[in-house]
Amino acid sequence: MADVTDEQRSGPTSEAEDAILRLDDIRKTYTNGVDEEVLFGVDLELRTGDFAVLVGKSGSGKTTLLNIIGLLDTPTAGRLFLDDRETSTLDEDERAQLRREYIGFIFQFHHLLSDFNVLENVLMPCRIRGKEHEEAAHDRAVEMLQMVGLGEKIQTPVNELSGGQQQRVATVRAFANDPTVVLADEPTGSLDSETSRSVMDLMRDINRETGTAFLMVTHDPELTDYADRVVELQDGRIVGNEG
Amino acid sequence: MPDRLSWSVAWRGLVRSKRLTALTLVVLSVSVILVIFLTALIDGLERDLVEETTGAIAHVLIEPREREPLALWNREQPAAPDDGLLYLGERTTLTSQKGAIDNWPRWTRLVDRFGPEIQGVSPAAEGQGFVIRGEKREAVRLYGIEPRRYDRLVPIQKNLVEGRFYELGPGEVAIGYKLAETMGVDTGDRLQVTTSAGTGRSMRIVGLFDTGFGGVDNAAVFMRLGDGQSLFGLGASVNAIGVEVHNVFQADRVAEQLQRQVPYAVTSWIADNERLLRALEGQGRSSDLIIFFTAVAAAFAIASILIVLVTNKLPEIGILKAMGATRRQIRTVFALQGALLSLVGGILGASVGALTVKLLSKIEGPPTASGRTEPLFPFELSPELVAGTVVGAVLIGFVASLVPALRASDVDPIEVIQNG
Repeated sequence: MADVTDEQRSGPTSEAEDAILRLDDIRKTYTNGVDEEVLFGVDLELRTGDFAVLVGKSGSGKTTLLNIIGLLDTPTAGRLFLDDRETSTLDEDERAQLRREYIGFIFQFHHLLSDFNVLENVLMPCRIRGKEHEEAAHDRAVEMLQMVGLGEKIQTPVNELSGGQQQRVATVRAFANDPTVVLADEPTGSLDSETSRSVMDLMRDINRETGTAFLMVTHDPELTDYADRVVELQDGRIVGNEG
Repeated sequence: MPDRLSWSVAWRGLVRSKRLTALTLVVLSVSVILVIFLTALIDGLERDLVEETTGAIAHVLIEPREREPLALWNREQPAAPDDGLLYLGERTTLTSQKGAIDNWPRWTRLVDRFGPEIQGVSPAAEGQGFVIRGEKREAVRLYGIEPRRYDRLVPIQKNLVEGRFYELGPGEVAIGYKLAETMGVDTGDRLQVTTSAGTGRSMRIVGLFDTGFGGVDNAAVFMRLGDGQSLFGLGASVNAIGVEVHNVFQADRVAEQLQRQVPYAVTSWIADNERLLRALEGQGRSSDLIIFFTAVAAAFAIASILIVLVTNKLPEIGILKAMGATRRQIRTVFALQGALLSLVGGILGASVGALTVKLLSKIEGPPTASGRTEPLFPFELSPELVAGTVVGAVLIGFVASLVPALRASDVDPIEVIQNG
């Protein structure tokens, strides 16, 4: 991957010296015959150790924003800095490299790989980076699985686990690669309330322990209790950003 | 070089999709069996056909040039006798249209040293003739030869049914068992051997052979070179030098090169058998077409099954891409699956195909009158054919996997994530 250029590096402002993620006037328009503008100039910062929750009604642009922050989608306009690196000009492979080095994902559905066991699923982001990363992360992955009560099941095929267990595996997977930011889209959406709480506790514990920044999209007002900061999105604009 | 991610995802995908994997392997194996079976059979038929055509003749023949008639008005006029008459012709003592090869040991040595492609050289005093016994009379070809040299052109010694060939003495002949049956003779009996010019002598049969070549077994009479020279009035000369080459299809080239070195007419068997060669070429093209269509069918089968595998794995491919897997890593997964499937299918098919061919090769056809038997299926199976088919299968598998691999690498993670 090309080295970061001066142009790509934008010196962080004094207020955002420790921001690991910065969105600057992010806009997104979908063009399917007619232009449909979804995001209207979003500005946002995420710092190390942040546990932020993104709330808003359906269609407010939460998922689109999360996809752009996760480098799965590109903004129509605006700039996104990840660890001071401007990302909107990167090609697909460069964005894939940033994803595997900086970002962990937790989805509403666990999306585990059915051909692999629990430990292999957790280590998959490391395997994508290379053998040495996988080997280096092995002990930590086992330790985290023990933390979430799956220490006895590391060799179990994932399709033999309950829904809650699968979501815990997916959560641990998001941290296996020691990411800078974890993005979670309705991570408890398919879980019962008890399992939801255990997954949220797990995320909060890891956040406090490792300082990994968190940005979680949710519809569930109860989950905002876990957050340090609640960002509210309405019709593609941030209308609230309370810490 | 594929990384651990690509290897593991490819391998697990195949192992877990047992039915699809097994189906692909069966399709591939059957295709490879078909290719090996048909190619071995067609190659064997071609080999037999060429052997049948060239086995009983010299691949390259050196002969004196035929004398060509010359128009009187093109000829340098000899001094006409001054007798007032007009002469329209000229008296000559030549009785044969062809001449002879006088210094044949020199030319034989030359051909012997020509190169590694030469398998044998045999001088001969040969021509048409008859064998007569009582009321029976058969047209034959008479060969005055050096038996050990001639045996390199047409294997007589190993095909002897009775008697001898190498140690032919003066006044002795070896004939085919079919000719012996026709004439009602056996070893020890005598035959009157006569050239078409009428020169003849009585000779004793000391050997009967069964070469499997009708032309030789029905109508060839072998005698010592000296006897042949005497019968055909050649003195110490011969009228043909036969040359056997290792690769019959190189005969034209060898003939062309020899022609530059000897002052006689040099012809190859190919010049006299163009129709056969065209038939062989046609057969070869048919074989290529069969292999091509089998390969295309196998490629479509692999591609279809890999597309199903890709479709089944779309969500997981999307997640891998979301986690940072590159398009190249994803493409490699399916290219590996194609190559692995075709390698295993190719090896399986090649093993079964080769074994089948080997087993069928052992089945023998009905014996001839002399008890000679030949394989019912004339297969020609070579290690190159087996190895080449496996390599071909792997290449086809790889190529067939490209479309599904590209499709997989184009998966949009967002769609996968949103659709659950």
